[in-house]
Amino acid sequence: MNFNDNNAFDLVVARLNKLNRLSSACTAAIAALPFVRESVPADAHIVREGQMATHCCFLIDGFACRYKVAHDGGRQIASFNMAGDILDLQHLLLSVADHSVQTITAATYLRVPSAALRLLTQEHADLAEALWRDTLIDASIFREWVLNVGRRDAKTRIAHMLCEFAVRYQAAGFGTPERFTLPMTQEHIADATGLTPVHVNRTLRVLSESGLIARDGRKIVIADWKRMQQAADFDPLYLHGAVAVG
Amino acid sequence: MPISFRPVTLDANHGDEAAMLVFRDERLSAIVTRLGAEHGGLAGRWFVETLFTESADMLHVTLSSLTDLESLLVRS
Repeated sequence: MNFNDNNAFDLVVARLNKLNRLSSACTAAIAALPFVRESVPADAHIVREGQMATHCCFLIDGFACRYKVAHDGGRQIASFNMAGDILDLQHLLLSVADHSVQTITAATYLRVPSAALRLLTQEHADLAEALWRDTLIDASIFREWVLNVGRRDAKTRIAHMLCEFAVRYQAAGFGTPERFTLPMTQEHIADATGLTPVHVNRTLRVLSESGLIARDGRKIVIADWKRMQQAADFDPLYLHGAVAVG
Repeated sequence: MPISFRPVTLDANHGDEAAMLVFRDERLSAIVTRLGAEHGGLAGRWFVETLFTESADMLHVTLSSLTDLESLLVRS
C-alpha cells in the first residue's frame, strides 16, 4: 500500500474540482488516501462482473471501457474512459461488480479502498458533492448512449461517439476536438455502438467521403466541427459542463 | 431444401455493391454482400447483411464462400 505519493491523485483532483470546488483540506485528505498503483497492458481486466468489490479505481494513464456481455457472448460497451476518470465509483457503496472494466491501451490506475474513500466523503461534504455530481453525469452519459444505440442510424451513432470522445479528450487536456488519435479499435467502436466491425468500417468511410472527417489510421481530423455536431446530433448539454476546460 | 443464389447490385454508398439474394425453397432467406478491399483481411468474404430465418447466430457473420453459407442454411 502506498501513502503520500505526492502527485498520484492530481488528475483526479483536477477533475473533481471541475465538478465542485474542493477545499484545500479536502485536497490534502485525498492526497493522503491509501492506494495501490497498478500498471497493466491493453485488454487487462480491472474489474470483472460478479466479483466482490472492495476498492474504487482511479484511472491516471491510458484508456479503458466499461462493458456487459449477453448470454450469446455479444459485448456491449457502456462507456469509454480516459485518465482522470473514476472507473467504478459505484463500489463506494455497492459490494458486487455488476459489469466489467477493461483497459483499451496500456494503463495505470490507483486502487483505493472503498472504506477509506467512504470515510472521506463523510468528513468532507465538498468531496461527497463532487462524487455525487460525477455519478449523476455518468448516468446522463449512459442515457445519451441508450438514445444513441437505440434510436440513431449508424452514421449518426458513430459521429456522435466521435464527438463525445473529442470533447472529453480536449477537456482532459490531451488535445483539441478537431484533431485526435482514437485509442480504440473498430471492434471497440462496434461494441459501443451496437454495430458490426464491417458496418463501422463502412460508416467511417462514409463519414470520410462526406468530408466530415479525415482519417489516417486511428488519427482523426474533424475539419468542420459545427457541421460534424449537426451530423452527429451532438449537443454537449448532457455532459453538464463536467468536461468544460479550465 | 434447395438453396439458390441470384446476383444483385446494391444501391449503397459504402462501396460493397456486389451482393447475392439467397433463396431456400424459392423463398428469400438472406442477403449477403461481397466485402471489398477496404475491409482489409475480410476482403473477398461474404457478409450476411440480412437474414429472414430465425438463425440469428448467422446474422452479420462473414463466410469465405457461398458453399459455406449454403451448408449453414441447410443445417439451420
